[in-house]
Amino acid sequence: MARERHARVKVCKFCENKTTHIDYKDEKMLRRFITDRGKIIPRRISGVCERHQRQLTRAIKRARQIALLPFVAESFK
Amino acid sequence: MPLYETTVVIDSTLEESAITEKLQRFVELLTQAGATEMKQNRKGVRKLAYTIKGKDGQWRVQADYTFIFYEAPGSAVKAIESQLRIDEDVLRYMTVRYDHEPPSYQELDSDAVSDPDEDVEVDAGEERAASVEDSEE
Repeated sequence: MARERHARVKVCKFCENKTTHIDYKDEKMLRRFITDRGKIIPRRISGVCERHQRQLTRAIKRARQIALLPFVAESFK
Repeated sequence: MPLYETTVVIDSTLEESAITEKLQRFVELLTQAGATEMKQNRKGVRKLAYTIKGKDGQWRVQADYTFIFYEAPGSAVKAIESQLRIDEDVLRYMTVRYDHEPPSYQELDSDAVSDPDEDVEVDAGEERAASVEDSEE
């Protein structure tokens, strides 16, 4: 039954690793939190906690400014 | 005094010596403006996430990245940014203020540049990046 599909418990990746600072230079790590299109993945999907999502968003936006991450990307290259 | 980090993205079609010279000039400028505890982290040539038009009107797909971390009065930021804005070979620049020294730089103190994600580099840049690593150790 579709209704009884158990919800996966999502834990914030950053809380798990006890991250205090999300670095905008770490392009590889940030790429995990954007879609193929370059959009930031909402935390209801990624499971990131509120505090870290705010830090993450800032980091991604900074990385975009210096061309480490795309503003928009083609989904198929 | 506050901590700042300035990212400088320089056109990689420039000669290696010209880039180093340019960076040297920016660092000197900062020192003159009262910057201390300077840490320069040259990442070398990296692929750009989007193409940027260079001064000759051609689109650049890769560029040379450098991060300069320093402690300085706000006037120093003004000084360097005005220079970066003028320079046509600087494709992008960004200054970020920190309240505390980020962990990435505390690590940098002990072991120079040892990034596991160096493979983002494009072929042409690999050699150059390697040489930079050596010199910083």
